[in-house]
Amino acid sequence: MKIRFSSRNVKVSAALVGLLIVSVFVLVIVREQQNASVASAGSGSLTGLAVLNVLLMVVLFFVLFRELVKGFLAWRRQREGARFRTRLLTTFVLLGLVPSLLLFIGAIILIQSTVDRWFRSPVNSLTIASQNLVDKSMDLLRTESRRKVHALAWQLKQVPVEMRPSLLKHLNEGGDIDVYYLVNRKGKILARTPDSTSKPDAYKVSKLFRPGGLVGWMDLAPKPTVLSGTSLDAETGLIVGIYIPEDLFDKARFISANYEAYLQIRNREHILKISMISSFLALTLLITFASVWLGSHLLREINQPLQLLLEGTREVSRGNLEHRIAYEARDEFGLVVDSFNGMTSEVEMSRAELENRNRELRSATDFSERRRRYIETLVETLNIGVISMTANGQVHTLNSKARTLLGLHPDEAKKHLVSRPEWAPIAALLAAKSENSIINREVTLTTSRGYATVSVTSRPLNDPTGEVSGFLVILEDISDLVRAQRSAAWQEAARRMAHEIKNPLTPIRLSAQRIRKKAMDGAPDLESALVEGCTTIEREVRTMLKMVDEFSRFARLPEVRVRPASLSDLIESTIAPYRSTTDFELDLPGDFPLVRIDTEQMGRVLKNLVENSIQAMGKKGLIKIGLKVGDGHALMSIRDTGPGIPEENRSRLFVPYFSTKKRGTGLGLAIVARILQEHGGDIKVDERYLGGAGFIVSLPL
Amino acid sequence: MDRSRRKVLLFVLLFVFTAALPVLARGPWVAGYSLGFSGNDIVVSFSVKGALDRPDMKEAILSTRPVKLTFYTQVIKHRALWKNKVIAEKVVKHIVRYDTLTKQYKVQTLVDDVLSEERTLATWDEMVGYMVSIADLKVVSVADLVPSENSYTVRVKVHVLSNLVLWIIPWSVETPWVEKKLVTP
Repeated sequence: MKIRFSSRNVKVSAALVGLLIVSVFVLVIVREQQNASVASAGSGSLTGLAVLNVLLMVVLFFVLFRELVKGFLAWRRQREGARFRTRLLTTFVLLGLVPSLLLFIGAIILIQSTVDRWFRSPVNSLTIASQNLVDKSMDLLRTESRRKVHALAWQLKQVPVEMRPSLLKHLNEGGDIDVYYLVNRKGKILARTPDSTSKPDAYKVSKLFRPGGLVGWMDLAPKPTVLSGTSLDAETGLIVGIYIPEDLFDKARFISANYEAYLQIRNREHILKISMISSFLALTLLITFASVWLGSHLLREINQPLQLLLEGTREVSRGNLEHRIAYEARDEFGLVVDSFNGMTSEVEMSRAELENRNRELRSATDFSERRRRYIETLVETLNIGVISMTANGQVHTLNSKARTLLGLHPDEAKKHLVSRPEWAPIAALLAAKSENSIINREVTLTTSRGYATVSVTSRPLNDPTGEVSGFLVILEDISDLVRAQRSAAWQEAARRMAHEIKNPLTPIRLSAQRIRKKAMDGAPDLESALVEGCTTIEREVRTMLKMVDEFSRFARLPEVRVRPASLSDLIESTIAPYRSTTDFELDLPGDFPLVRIDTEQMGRVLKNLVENSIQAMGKKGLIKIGLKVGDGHALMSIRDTGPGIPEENRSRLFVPYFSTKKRGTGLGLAIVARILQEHGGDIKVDERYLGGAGFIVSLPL
Repeated sequence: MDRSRRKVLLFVLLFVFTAALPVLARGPWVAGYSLGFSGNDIVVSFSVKGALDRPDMKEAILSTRPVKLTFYTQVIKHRALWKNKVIAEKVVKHIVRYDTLTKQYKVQTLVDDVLSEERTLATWDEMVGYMVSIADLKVVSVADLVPSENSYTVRVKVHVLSNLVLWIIPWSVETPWVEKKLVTP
């Protein structure tokens, strides 16, 4: 397993180790303070503590100063997170400093009162009193030795110099003095206590000849002695000593030793206090430093990813979606940064995808635009008029042919179209349409060039949901075609009329020739021939008159006047005269909707079809009439059981003057088709019916 | 006042304060420094003033705390273009301890950490007189010096005690070095 050492981890580890070492150091010193004898308190450890305190203060102030400067600079530069950083650092400093400071102040007060109380304790008072007692005892011995030396000196001065040693020996034997030395100025011993082995040093001898002499000098060896001395004359001096009782000396030594210890402590009272306060100060500073350092470290831990996130957000808001935050951590900040990077990556991918789609869409739009322009050009160049209308009847687009047909100037706005007189018949036609129906009608427009026959086809435009979003109106100028058809029709009509007129003329001519022959011959049967001939002529003339009526009727069909009516009722009323001779089978739904029709004209249509069937079937047969709704139209079927319509005749069935009957005019079904056309309907042969002739009549609902 | 001038003023104030610290805390000083010859040896005599007459020192001594004065003596040879060299050095320590039972002062003299003298004195003045003076201390033999060169200096100083400034900063209380040019006979 490979372990990675980042500089941050190394720093943290080093700091923790350093903190641990300092803590151990402080604890050791505090421990030493506690264990050290009171007398030795504050010697070496105090210096160590002082050094530690100074170091901690320097480091603490450095850290605080650095953080303050950084915070101030960040605030001045209005860097992101500066306010948060300052607030957090202040919180950490206060969290560390306030409790530590309170603890420190409490500790100072406690130390002060404890140490003061200790120095005013009864034990110490007893120590002082005991020492005073010792001092008094020793002073008594000193006074006694001084008194004795002065008394001896007076006695010695009373005797000759050579007798002084013997006098001293005598007095010593009497027990008045324990120790004596008679010395000259140079320190030579002239006489001394017999059992004494030591001798006064030069210092003591010199003191003898100074003012005041030697007073209360204490020699502790070989035996505790209080010595006093004085000069006897210019050259000799006397030292007298009193032994200190051994038990007194031991007790005095013991008391003095304790007193000295007390004095030393007393002398170091402030050092003792300082050393204890320093220990607490070190701990306080250590806690504060740890708090500040940890706060600073935590601040960096928080602030770094926060700042990176802010920078990242700014970069992303500027549109730089390639920006990624380089920060690795396993904490929540790492998670947030990962999420941010992931989100940015996804947004970048989405944007790339969006741009691709946009390019594709632009390409498709361009293609559509080109296609639209192509279609527009195509439509524009078409020789038919194309008008697109909205569902509510407003003109959306129209090509130039439509403008031409409807007399609209190229620069004139299309909205003016509806006000054109040419538009009126088309508007009337469109008003009569139903939503889903396809209308195909010929209308005659009065244009500036004269009359024009125009085939108008209107069909609904459905949007993807199936709703009608508008209409497409196609105008086809069929004037030339109509003229050609009309010319052909007239030719056919003339031919047919000639033929039809020719047919009755022949019997008329033959009858006239027979009557003339009979009359010239004087034939006896002239009368009967005359009657017979006139009858023939009269019959043929009637036929001709009938034929003329048919032509006249075809040429002058009345205008269709539609109103809602029941097809079922119309069928019932129309077939009623034929029911006695012909069988009918009706399929008429009771709830069949009303249809807008001209009942007279439609009755003629129905009658024509029924009569054709009756004629075709002969006397026997069945006519089936049914009604149903299909594709927005009312569908009426008329089927018979006759011989049916030959395949070759079906395409010409509705052409005027086409007839399969011997004496038919060929206008019946043409009239039927025209009437239905003017109703917006249609008629066609029922191709699927095989039992005879069948027709499907469709009318718009 | 612009920012740079403010910085300069701050540094000057800091420097003056730092430099004035020793002056503000008036310390001991060397007095009566003299050089002499004793046979073939060069001897120095000097004393320290402002040491034991401090109230805290007196209080410390009477509290039976051992008090030490350290006398430093160095013979320095000056070398051109080179660092000076200490060719001889003596460190004398005077230590006093007061005995509350006998009311006497026990003083010791250590020369280069070797006990050379020990005596007991009766009065404060006698003790102070002994403690603050060094008399005829042999520092170097004339034979150890090069006669033709007069580039020797004998300097002395006295370390009184180690103290703590503001109870925090360690501060050594001692005299400054006092030098005398050594004139060889």
